[in-house]
Amino acid sequence: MRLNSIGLNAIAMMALVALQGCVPATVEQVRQGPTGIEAHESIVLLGRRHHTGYETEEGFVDCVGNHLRDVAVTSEHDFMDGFYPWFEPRVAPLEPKDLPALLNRPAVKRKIESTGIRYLVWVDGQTNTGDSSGTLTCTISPGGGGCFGFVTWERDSAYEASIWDMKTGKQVGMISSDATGTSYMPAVILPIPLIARVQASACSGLARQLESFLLDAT
Amino acid sequence: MKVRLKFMIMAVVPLIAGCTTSALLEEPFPEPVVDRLPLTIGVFYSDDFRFFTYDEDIPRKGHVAIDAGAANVRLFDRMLPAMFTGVVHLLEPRDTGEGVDAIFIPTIEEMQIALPHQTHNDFSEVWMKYRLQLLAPDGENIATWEMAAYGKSPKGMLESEKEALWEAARVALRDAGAYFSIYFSEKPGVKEWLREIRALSRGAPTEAESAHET
Repeated sequence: MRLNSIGLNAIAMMALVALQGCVPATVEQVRQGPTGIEAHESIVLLGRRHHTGYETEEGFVDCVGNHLRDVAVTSEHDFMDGFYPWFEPRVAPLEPKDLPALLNRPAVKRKIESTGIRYLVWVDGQTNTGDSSGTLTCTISPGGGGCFGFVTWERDSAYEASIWDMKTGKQVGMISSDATGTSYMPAVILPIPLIARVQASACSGLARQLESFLLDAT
Repeated sequence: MKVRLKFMIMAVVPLIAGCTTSALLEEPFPEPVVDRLPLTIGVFYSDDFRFFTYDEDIPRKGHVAIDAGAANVRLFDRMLPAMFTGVVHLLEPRDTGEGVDAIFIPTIEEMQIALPHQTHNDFSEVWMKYRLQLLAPDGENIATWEMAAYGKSPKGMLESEKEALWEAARVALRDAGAYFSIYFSEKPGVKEWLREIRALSRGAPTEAESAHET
């Protein structure tokens, strides 16, 4: 009986671990213009940093860039330095209507032509952790120590990418990626965190859709 | 022997931790992508500007010292040659023997910092307030204006709060350089002076001014 109870707990734990990888992302796309990208052209992914309360995580922007296989990506750091000061947080264009004035500046125009950057992708959003529930108690005694309990918490990743065409100075589309999941931490002697990989899911969903959007010229 | 070695390591680590450096502020600033004004600017850095240091003892965190003066000299030495066709460093504010079109004098009026435990958010923040002055070669004031700069940096998992603070200071300096290089020509007084210079030289508007007006 005791062995069956332990076996059932182990199976339940394995199921929880397996389910942590299954965090689906909801991806939506709005196309506002034709795309397509030449072999010598590249894109740059920029995280929005003008908000007072948060910044788009640099790790998420890097994640999206790493998932793009068939599109050349210029690093955010190289772009920010190469086009300084025009994309610093305080002076960066916030809306597509601000782009033409920037692109008309002779020095900026020359720079774009020399670097071959075709699309600028603004990534905005963040991953939030919601309220937790459950209890976890840990004790330490001369004879040893350990934890016992069960805690859960919600995690939500919501990101939006705005794609700007540097050749036409217009916004050509928007892609959003949302993923929600529940993280668990059961503890029997040792706490075992089972984190819902919502950010990774949102990242891969956004990257897949973005690549498809850019390569599909219609 | 092993115990002695452990104690030696434990003694050395706090010493290293106390020697906080601002290596991030020594990183080079990028050259701004702006059109040069066909002018020669004399720049004067006072000792107060060159050696401006922010010092604060923060409870539970220790002493914080930021050598902002040296970093600001490097910042303006990067911005000015990209904005003007000629830059001359002056030893005195009225030393115009080199034949300059105007004299630029920056001053750091104030600097403030905030660590995450002080603001109860996830960011280290730095504010800087400058007073910038542009003088004619004869010492007459062309324009005086204040400029604020702001930088913030989130504290990563393995990053110390002080490292995040250096990054926030670096971002604030980049912010200062960005605002200065973009909006210099639009400052009241400067804009009118540039028009007069053009009228005197009887030349066409500069590439930058034409692009701005469109």
